[in-house]
Amino acid sequence: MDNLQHPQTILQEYAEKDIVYLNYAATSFPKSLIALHSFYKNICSLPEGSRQNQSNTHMHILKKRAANILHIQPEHVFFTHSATVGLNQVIKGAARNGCRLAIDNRSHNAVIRSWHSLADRCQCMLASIYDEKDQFIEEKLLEILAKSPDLLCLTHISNVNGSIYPVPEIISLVRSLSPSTSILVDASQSAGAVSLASLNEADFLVFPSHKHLHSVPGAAILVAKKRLEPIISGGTGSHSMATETFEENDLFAEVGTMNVPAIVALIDSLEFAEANLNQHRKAEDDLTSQFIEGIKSIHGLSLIGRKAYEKRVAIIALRTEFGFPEIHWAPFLKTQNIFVRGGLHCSPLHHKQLGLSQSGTLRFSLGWNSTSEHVAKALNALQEFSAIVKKVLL
Amino acid sequence: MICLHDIKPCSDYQGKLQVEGTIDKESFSLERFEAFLQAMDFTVFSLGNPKVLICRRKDCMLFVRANGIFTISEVSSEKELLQIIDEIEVFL
Repeated sequence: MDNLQHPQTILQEYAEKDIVYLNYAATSFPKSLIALHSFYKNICSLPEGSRQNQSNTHMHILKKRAANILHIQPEHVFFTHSATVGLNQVIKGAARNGCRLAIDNRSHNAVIRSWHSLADRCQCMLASIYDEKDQFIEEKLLEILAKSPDLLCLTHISNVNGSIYPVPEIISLVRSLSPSTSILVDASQSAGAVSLASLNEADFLVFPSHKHLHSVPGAAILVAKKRLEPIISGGTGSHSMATETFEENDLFAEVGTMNVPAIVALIDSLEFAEANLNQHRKAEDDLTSQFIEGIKSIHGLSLIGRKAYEKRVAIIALRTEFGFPEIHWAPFLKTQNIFVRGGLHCSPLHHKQLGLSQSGTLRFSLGWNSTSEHVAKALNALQEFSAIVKKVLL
Repeated sequence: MICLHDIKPCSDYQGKLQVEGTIDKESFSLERFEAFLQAMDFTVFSLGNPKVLICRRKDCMLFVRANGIFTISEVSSEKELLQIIDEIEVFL
């Protein structure tokens, strides 16, 4: 008990350690005080009524708050334990024998591996709708739509280089050319970074709490406007005599004990992010610009992806001319208390197209509490390491 | 003593291992350790703030900080990794 500390004290201790954390595309650090306050307040609350879904219950009010931001109906909002669970639920829950499942070539492994696992009973199709410069290739989409996929999975923002893809426009195209195709949007890098309202035409939408929303792990939102087969069976707190677990469609994705404290923290963080979106976006755009400008003068590093302010978020990927991001650059930065991600970022299709399947990229991803000093410190460290990396490699 | 964390494959750099660990010695000195590593055929670069030694030898790469925290990477097998750790143990 001696080690029990208030979250704010813990955050202060980290602040004093002079940590530069630039890995928000993986997870946020530190978590926001808003999220921590919500989480701790609710973990200390009497756990009552969290399983009921009638209007005006705790859970339904949380769904209404999410729906208000997402511009959808509350009955379409479900809470899952992670975005990976949500994506699995949609892809596996939509799959029937012989159905056609398509994914785009920016998909994360949470999508790719779920899709691939169904290859023995479904027709799995890869929609290579983006070129190496992240331009949308309409002809490639039309080729896929001509095969009438039952489900098309789209990535809204690249977790490799931060490009924002024209998902609302693609959804319009799909609706007009292949109305029977259901659309799943993976918004894992979008929530907290950009407005999600433009994605409300998707049939399914998934995003987690712990990345750009700066909330705790253990909760995610799954928007489902269509019926899915549940992939996990269990209690829903109602119809308990029925052995058919999922007679009530409205709880199909929410079996077992819900992580209510993390869900409340997610909703509070979502509202905070929405209310401050323009301010956060401007700050992150300016920091991205500072970073990209700084990289130009460092030998052996080059930007992969779009320039600052050009349909992108603050996820910056670098190509390293000398040394590997994962085993040379990122470990050095870590010794300087700068935390980034080097490697393939669970996005093998994107890396393959970039010709970086072996080495990966050095990724910096900023949050709304990143500062100009953080960027300057990272640039200084990169400059220093670039001066010796060639000699280190022998 | 040397405390090793999990030995794991370089996730995206196939066939190589990496490990993080801590040299737990009250009187640990980066300067003396640098001289020791050079005697072990490492080429040593010193840079950064906080200061870090970047040490290169044919069989591995080593980052060491003044607080004794280190990373060894680019090792081909666990056996080779443990041999390197044994070599470093001599310093202690």
